[in-house]
Amino acid sequence: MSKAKGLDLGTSRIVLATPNDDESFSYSAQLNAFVALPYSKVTERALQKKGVPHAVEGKEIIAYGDRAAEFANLLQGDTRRPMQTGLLNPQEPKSLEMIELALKRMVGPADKGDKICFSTPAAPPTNENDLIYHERTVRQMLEKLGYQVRSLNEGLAVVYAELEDDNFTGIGVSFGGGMCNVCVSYMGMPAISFSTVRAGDYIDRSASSVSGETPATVRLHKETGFALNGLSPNSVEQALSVYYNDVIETVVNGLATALASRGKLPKLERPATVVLAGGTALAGSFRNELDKALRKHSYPIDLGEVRLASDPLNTTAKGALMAAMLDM
Amino acid sequence: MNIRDESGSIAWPGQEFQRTVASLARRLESPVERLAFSRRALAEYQRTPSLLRASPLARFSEVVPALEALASCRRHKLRWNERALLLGWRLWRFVPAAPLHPRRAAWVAGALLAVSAVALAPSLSPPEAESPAPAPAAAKPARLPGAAEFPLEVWLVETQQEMELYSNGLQVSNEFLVHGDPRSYVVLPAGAGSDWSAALEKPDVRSRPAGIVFHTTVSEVSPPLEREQNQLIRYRGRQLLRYLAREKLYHFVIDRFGRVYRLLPESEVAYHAGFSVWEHAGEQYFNLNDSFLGVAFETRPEALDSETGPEAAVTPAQVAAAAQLTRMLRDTLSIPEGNCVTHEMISLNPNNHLIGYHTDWAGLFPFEQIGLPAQYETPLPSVAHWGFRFDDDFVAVLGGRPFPGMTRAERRFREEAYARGLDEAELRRRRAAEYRRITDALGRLRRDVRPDGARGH
Repeated sequence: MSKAKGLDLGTSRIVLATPNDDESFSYSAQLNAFVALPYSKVTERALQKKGVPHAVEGKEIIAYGDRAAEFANLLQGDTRRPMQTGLLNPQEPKSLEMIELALKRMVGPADKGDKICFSTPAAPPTNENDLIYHERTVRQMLEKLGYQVRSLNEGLAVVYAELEDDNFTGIGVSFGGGMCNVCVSYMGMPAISFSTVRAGDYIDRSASSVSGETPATVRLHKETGFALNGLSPNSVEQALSVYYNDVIETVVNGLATALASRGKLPKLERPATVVLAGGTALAGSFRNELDKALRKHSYPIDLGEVRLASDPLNTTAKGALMAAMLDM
Repeated sequence: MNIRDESGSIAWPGQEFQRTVASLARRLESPVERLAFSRRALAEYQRTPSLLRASPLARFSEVVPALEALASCRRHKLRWNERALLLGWRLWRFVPAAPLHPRRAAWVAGALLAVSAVALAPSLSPPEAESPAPAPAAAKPARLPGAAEFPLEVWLVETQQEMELYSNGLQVSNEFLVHGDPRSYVVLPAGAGSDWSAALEKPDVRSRPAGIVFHTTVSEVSPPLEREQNQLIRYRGRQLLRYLAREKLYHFVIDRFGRVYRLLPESEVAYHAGFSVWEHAGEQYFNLNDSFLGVAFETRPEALDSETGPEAAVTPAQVAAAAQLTRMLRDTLSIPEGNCVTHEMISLNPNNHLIGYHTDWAGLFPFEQIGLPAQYETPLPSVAHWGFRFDDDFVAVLGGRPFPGMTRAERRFREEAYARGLDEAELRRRRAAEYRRITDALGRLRRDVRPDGARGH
């Protein structure tokens, strides 16, 4: 019997969703990053012993996935990213190779008739052709593994995963590492979508630049209970606050512009729920701040509840899996 | 910013279509099936001739594409009347392609007329008549113009013997009126995790009713509404009212003929709500006997069945009377609509930390017909703030699906656990302990005011 899989191919994490027999879903995730280490037998043995996924390439060993960050810290370096701002990273020579390796490892080869749906960002603000390249390349990699492949807008995936009670009508926002993706959906059909490149990585880079701390330290602050609580005496937290708010403002302004620029919008039966997913939305008070910012504008449709997805890190993968299961 | 208008030349259907699709979607079990159905329904709608959408048969264009989509769901079988509608629809679409042979054209026109007549019969409003959930559009088989939307202020016009007449037509009988304890309760700020000491040290004590809880009597004593049962209906109806008044269980009871009886004055306490919690507009109420009025509809035990819907549970006369009574109470006591709730929305059991200890109205209360917003959409504070859960038994009573306010509240609780960096179970433990502290403190405060203590129902 053929199977379906949902893949959230994010800038910082790759998440795979698969269905269980009892109609629930399972998730596995991996950091979308790698580190190149000088080859030595000792290092290779250590990696093997610890079960770290790796590949030997001439005089280098490439370690990837969750443990890559650990090795990068050990070597006082930073991890390398196969993706940037939601798309394949043109600055990274090993981008294609690493993504293919990650997909092979996470997704595995398909059985006959297996389907997969992977998430793609909305067209980037600068060059739409980059999205075409990204989408077709990833599609080819998955087809090579034997899957019947379809892609799905990331914001729409959030709607699929979370807005069943609203008949898949509402606004899905995925706050990822490289991009924020927004989709206004009407009964499961996308009406408007857009993306912004001010997201998690932008916050890390900018906060690191003004506070003088390394991006790793900034990330540590972010991931250990940071909350948007207004002015802070701590320079890193203050910087984080400022750039988180900037991300929020960018998305809210984007939504206001997008809705205003759209000539004919459907009349909704009830106010549109806004669902937030992705790691960046996990900061304390993020939802409240976004809610406040959204209420400052007026829109041609009524906005309802603004809420965090039930499982924000797995939401996109779940939505992609639902899309893959649609034709089964 | 590169905004993509994804919809192209799509024709957006109206709200009625959305309601129809949402209602039919409830018949499908899995989220994936529902998603597929919604998308297909929208695609089918696009195939509807635009002329039809603007014609007197526009209702066709809203119902039939949805049925067409439902028919393509593998695991769902349409009912006979729905199949008849679909047949008419398919014939309609066949007309433009058919050769203009007069006999064939006459046959098609005749079939169309017949099917249209069936389709427009009120009993065949498929999505609305059989919806198990209380979505605003789903529960409107008996729209009652004017009852809920009375434009003027409501006031007492006259009192004759034991009957009160109000300006919106409401008549209230005081024939079974008894007296109880005066009302007095403490209001706390909404939410959980606050510093309660200030609120408890200088309690905000009030005596005006804050809201209304709607109940059903679920009384076996009420015989079925059948002509042969007339004598029993009269005798047992009065027996029931006497019992409810003696036990001081509700402020008002609406019998199956729409007669409204006041059992206790609004300024006194009835024991209708038991352990319960609700919040609205930044204020929170615990154990709502003291703060909310109780309004009960006379029903039989088997009445609230999620398969049959609210129209089988209560009579149109009761719904009309409830709309008038609610309007009167809201007008005369300044009760906000957000504080008009049903028993199953507020009821809980602090011992096992589960909601739904009392299950009336089983998610079927016709809020829209009473002139109230769809309260089943509102996240339940018991779940969202206090970490109460719901079990399969309660969900089964609701027809197998929690109402949206329950799932939304669950998400809110998870969201707070995330935001606080806590395990959900840990936050739940903390909230359970906090809930006990608060209710204990409120209990002490209450005993200071009135020494007879609380009673639950």
